[in-house]
Parts: sequence; C-alpha cells; structure tokens
Amino acid sequence: MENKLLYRFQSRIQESGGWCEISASGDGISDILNSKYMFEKEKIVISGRVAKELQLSGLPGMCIDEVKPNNRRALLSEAKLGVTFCDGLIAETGTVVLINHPSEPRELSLLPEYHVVIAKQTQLYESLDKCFTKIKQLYPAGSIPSITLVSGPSRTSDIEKTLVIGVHGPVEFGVIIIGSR
Amino acid sequence: MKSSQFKIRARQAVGDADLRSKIKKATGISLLKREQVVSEIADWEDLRRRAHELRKETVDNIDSYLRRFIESARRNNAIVHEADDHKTANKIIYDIIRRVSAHTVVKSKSMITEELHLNTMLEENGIRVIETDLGEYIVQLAGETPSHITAPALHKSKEDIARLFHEKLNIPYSDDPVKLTAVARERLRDEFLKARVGITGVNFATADTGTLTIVENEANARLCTTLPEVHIAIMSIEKIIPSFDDLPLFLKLLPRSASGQRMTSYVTCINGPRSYHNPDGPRQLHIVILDGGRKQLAKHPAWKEALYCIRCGACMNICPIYQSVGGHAYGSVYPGPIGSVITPTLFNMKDAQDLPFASSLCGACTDICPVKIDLHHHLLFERREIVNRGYKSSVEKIGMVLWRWIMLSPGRLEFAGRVGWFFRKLLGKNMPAPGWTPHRQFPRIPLRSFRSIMRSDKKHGK
Ligand code: SF4
Repeated sequence: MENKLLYRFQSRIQESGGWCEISASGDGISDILNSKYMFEKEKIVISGRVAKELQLSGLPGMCIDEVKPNNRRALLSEAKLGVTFCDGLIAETGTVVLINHPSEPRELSLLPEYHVVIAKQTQLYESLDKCFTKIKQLYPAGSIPSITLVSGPSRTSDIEKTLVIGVHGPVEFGVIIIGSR
Repeated sequence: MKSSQFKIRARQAVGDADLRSKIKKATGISLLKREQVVSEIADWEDLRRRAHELRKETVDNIDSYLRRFIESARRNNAIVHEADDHKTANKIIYDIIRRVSAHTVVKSKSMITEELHLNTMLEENGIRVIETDLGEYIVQLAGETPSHITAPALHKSKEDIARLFHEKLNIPYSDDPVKLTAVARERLRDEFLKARVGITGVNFATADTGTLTIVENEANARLCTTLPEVHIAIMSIEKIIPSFDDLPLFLKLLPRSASGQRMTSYVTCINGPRSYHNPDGPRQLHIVILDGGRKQLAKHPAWKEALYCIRCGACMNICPIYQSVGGHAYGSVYPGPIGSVITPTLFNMKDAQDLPFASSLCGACTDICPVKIDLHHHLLFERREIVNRGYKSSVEKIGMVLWRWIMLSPGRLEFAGRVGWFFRKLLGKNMPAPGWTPHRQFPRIPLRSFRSIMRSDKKHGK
C-alpha cells in the first residue's frame, strides 16, 4: 500500500516538473544534494527541523536556527538552495504540505532559487482530506499555523499558454523521501 | 467600459480574426488540459453535487457564516473590516496603507480588486500599485483590463507582449516567453523586497478556522503574503465556505477546472499574522470583507446561485460566444456566462441588458461548472426579467406579439411561409433581415412546406 502511494507521489511530482528521490536513510541526503547541486555550503540553508526530526548531524549547509531573524531575509535572498522538512506528502496530486514552524519560516521555501523538501515515507497520505483531518486533530481550532501546499516549481502559462518554469518562486523543486522502495 | 456597449464591441471583436484566433487557441488548450485531469476522477459528478450543496448552505445562511468567519479570523489575530459598498471598501484599504505611510503596494491577482477599481483609486491618491501576477503585470503595463478571470492577458500574443516589454521596460525585443518571464521576475523581485504592503484576494475563507486560502502558480501571492509588513486580504462575502474540512473538496475542483492542473504549484492557507508558530509573514493581517449588493442577491430564490461561483473560468473557456468575442466585449469585470449572469443581477440590469442574450443557450457552461450553477437557465430567466421591466424596444415587442399570433394558428403559419417564399423569390439573395443578412445569406424557402408534403403523402397513402 505504502509503496503504491510512494510511486504515485513520485510520478505526480515528476509530471509537474519537480524531482523526487528515495533514500534508505537520512545519511543519503548529503549525497543526493551533492550530486545535484554544486553549491558552496554557505549558499545552502537548512531548516532546523531536518536535523531534529531525523536526528542527523553534518548536513551540507547552514542551519536557519543559527541565523539572526534580522539577517534572515538578506541571507535567503542570496541563498541558492533552501531545504525544509514537511508535514505530509499527498500522493493523489504530488503535493507537499508545509506547516509554518519556528525553525522553518516561509521565506526558506520561497526566496532561494531552489527548494528541496526532506520527508519520511510514513508521512505519505493518499489524499489531502486525510492529511487535513490529521492537522485538525493535532492543533486545536485557533492555533493552526499557516500552511503552504507546494506541488511543483513556480510556473506560469500567461504568455500564449506556453508553460514557463520559474516565475517568482523557486525555479526548481525536489523531494527526498527517507524510506524504502 | 460599459456593458451597455456590448453589441458594438462584440461586432468589432467578431470582425477581428487575429483576436479570435488567439482566444480560440488559449481556450482550446485550457479545455483539453481540464478534460485530462477531470476524466481521471471517477466521482467528479458527486464532487460537483457536494460542492453545490456546500455553496448553497453557505449562501442561504450567509449572515451566520459571515459572523462565524469573522469570529474565527479575529481569534487568529487578524483585523477584520466589513464594507457595505465599494466606496467604503476602497476607503478602508486606502486608510490602512496611509496609516503605515506606504507609497507602493505589491498586489497579486484578484477579481474583487478589479470590481473595486482599486488600482485607479489608489493611483489617484498617489499610491503606486504593482501587479505581480505575470498576466496582470502585462495587462497593467499595457494600460488595459484583464480579459479573462484566470488568464488576464489571454487576448495578447507573445509578439504583442514582446513589443510592450520592449517599449515600456526598455529591453531588447524578444518574443521568447522564457526571456519575457525572466525579465518580469527580475524587475518584480526587487519590488517585493521593498514593499511594505501586500494586497491579495482570497479564494476560500473557512468559517470554522478563519483560514484564508489563496491558490496560484507563480509564487507572487506567496511573496505578497510573506514579505511585506502588512497584508491586506480583500474578499467578498461569498468566498466563505463552512469548514476547513471542506477545503480539500474545493481544492480538488478549482485547479482542475481552472488550469487543468491536479493542484496548482502553490496553495497558501493563512491562519493569522506573524507569531511564535508563524516566524515570518506580515505583522499585521487585515481582512476587508465586501458585501457590495451580495446579501441582497443572496435572498433571491434563483439568482443567489450566481454567488456559488468559485471563479474558475471554465464556463468562459467553453462558451462559443466568449470564444468569438473575448472578454473585453462584455464590458464587465466578469465576462463569459457567469459574467452575463452576475453583471445584470449584481450591478445594473439596464446597462447590462444585452449580456443575457449573448448566449446560444447551448448549456455547455452549466455542464462544465464545478459547482453546478444552472448558468444557461439563469440567462433565460434574466431575459424574461429584462423584457418584463420594459427594456426592450417597441419594434421588438410588436414583432414578438405578431410572431406569437402567427405561431398560434397552423393556417396563419402556413400563410406566413408562403409570404416569406414570395419575397425570397422576388428579392433573391438580397432579401433583408436586419442583424442577419449583413453577414449571411437568407436561406432559400421551398415552395412546398413540410406540412403540405405531409398532406399530399397522406392522400396518396404513403
Ligand atoms: S460559474 Fe462555474 S464554471 Fe463559471 S467561473 Fe464560476 S465556478 Fe467556474
């Protein structure tokens, strides 16, 4: 069952112009990022949640928790890659659910040129309904943080319906799922 | 632009082969993509029915849902403003901008702000408004208005846009959409980083959690709602849906119907301004809720359905009239079938009296509408209302009385047929019929009518 969802998610993400890799363990994250992007460490900013949730150390970039809020915007505008954790993967539409978090500001997935999401296979949901029901259980009414759903890179078809990738948001979007095929 | 000039503009548009081919191409692509992603959903009809019920439930009880939404939004620390009419809404928005002494605002695509003529008002008061959706940016540079609710620059070819960018932005001429988009990205990113106020519309507002949901592809709405210190979200009352639990349903219907996507690249669900859990985003979140005649419309037993609309634009894409005349001909912020339904009922029936007649009543709009609005029947009933109110000319009225008198008797109908045949014979191809023959030939009328053939066949026992 989970495998079916995983494959569906993967193909949906690819259809909308993103990429999706599966890694057996958190240690594979660095390899995948290194093989895709040749950025210096300073150009990569990583959400504080990734290290915590996956109990990892030595990730190839700077942790956002170490950046002063006043410097954050300038830093992220210069950054090449923003790496976030997530709160759900929706197989039906190839969507990543990001709930705002003190260690994961919205700008991190918005300002850098590239956005990569780290997720666990157990975070897969068949549809958005199921994920939203879960969110409502986790947070009492009036305390749900803001939520962003991402289903691909920034795009437009405003000029003669020609698809162009990369308008105002990240020009590339990828997902690394920690799990097994 | 006024709806009262529909006929003149429609005639011009129909004569513009270039415009027609641009519209046909764009609407055709949208419909094809929609078909692909709708056909993979087995219970699409059920979803439409459920969505219709939910929209009905909300509009029928709009006062109580509105109260609940406002309570929830305030609990989220949003500042809520209610505006009975357009003027009040504009004043509220202007005051918010003045209070933070901002001179520039960045704005993402929103039909309600078009309805408010917000940009004109703000610019008259010395505030620079920057449209950031690529289509809207193009339309703003050209000094025009959107011609489609989800694809504002649908009436422009890439060559049109290349010329526009070349002239207005001083860049070398290029008609490559990738290059043109890159120019917009670069110019606008700076504006986003500088702006202190961001203005957006709202797609859905949930009564139980006070969540504002914005659906988009470019990330300009995300930037408008994340970077500036103040976010002003503008919505009309009917954007409310009962519950956060209903969002997935509408998010299944809207992107598929609007752009043929399973989900747009981004959906932002805003639950309040900056806080511990929302470490960035605006410090102030204002929600301006416009009535603008909607509470009144919600009481009408039939036309309240127009308020169920989720502004996907599918009815425009599929409408043979829209495909032929384009969005500007309607002279309304809302073109196409839903525009023809809502413009006379919400704004001014006298001015917009031609719009309900701009339909072949084929019903394609009703079939495609994700919330099952009975669009073509509303157009029909609005026609009756327009006649009852006496907006039609006396010539037309006399013609209709005469036609009715003829149709009520088989003998008279047959006689009329003969008279028609006689004149067709006499005048040949030059037989005049205003509104018809300038563009087409009057058809030949056979000497023997269908009924006389039937009669003689019967006599000869066939
Ligand atoms: S009337 Fe229906 S089809 Fe037309 S824009 Fe509204 S929701 Fe879409």
